[in-house]
Amino acid sequence: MAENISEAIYKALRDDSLATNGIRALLGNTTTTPYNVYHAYVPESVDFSPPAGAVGFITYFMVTDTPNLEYQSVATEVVESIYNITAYHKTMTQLDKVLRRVRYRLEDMTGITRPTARSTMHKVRWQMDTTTKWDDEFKVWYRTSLYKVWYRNDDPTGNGT
Amino acid sequence: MLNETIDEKELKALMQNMDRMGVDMIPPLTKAIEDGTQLVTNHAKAGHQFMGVKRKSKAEEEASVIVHVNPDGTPRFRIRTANLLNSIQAIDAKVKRESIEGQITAGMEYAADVEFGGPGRRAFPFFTPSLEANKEKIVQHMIKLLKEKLKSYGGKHI
Repeated sequence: MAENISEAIYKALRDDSLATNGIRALLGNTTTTPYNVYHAYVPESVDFSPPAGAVGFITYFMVTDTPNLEYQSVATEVVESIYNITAYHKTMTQLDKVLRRVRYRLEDMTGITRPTARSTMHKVRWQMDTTTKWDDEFKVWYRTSLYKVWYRNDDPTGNGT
Repeated sequence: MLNETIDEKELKALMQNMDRMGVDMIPPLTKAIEDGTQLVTNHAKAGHQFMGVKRKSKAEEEASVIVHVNPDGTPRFRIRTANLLNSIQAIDAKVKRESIEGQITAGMEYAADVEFGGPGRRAFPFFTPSLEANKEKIVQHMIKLLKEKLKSYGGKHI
């Protein structure tokens, strides 16, 4: 269900190890897990511009899960899920690159490994971006992208089978 | 700004039927959109985390206040007052050439940061969940009002 959809989204972002243009490279961390991809919020002690050079961060989390009531049976129930993906970087152009790469990885599930149990992912679509904002305290640009995910719940008993 | 467009088959079929009959759909659709925005507004306000002003509120607030900090450790953001909650307002629907738009505003300058998050603070979405939770109800309400309008013209939607 929702937790293995979240996991699929997380890994699509975290595991993009393509040299130069992959998410790890764009965020400036290709060596240390979780490669600057965090759930919900970046750690409090994060440094957006360490001595080695500016780095970026991504946070992700599920905002809502809503059943599509057009389908009446549990076996065919499709759930619409909205995910918040927020990127942070000291450089606006790099921020743009990160979110463009995120869109490539998520849309049409290009970089997603579909779950093999408990749920079936059907589709992922970019829904909207917020404005790009500058945070004067942390000295960083940030922008949120919302994605809609459609999946089917294959675990109607709720016991993982 | 959050946007949502509705594309439901039954609603579309009903509107096509009414269009063929020459029925004026703008009044019932405008009413449905305004009712819908009020529904989302009420839902967003009900879900907003606000400690209140009753007798034990201060103790509750101190026990569960959510604080995020600036890089220097000073407090940055706390959910404490009703300013954001009270600034959530539905606005009358606007009829445009090919659409009818309902709007809800949250007037505080930090409303977007609460909804989407930012550095030093996680998000506490209140609009998106309200919109998603009520989308289906809004569509059903539209269908209901359109059918009533169609009936008043002596028509019937099959």
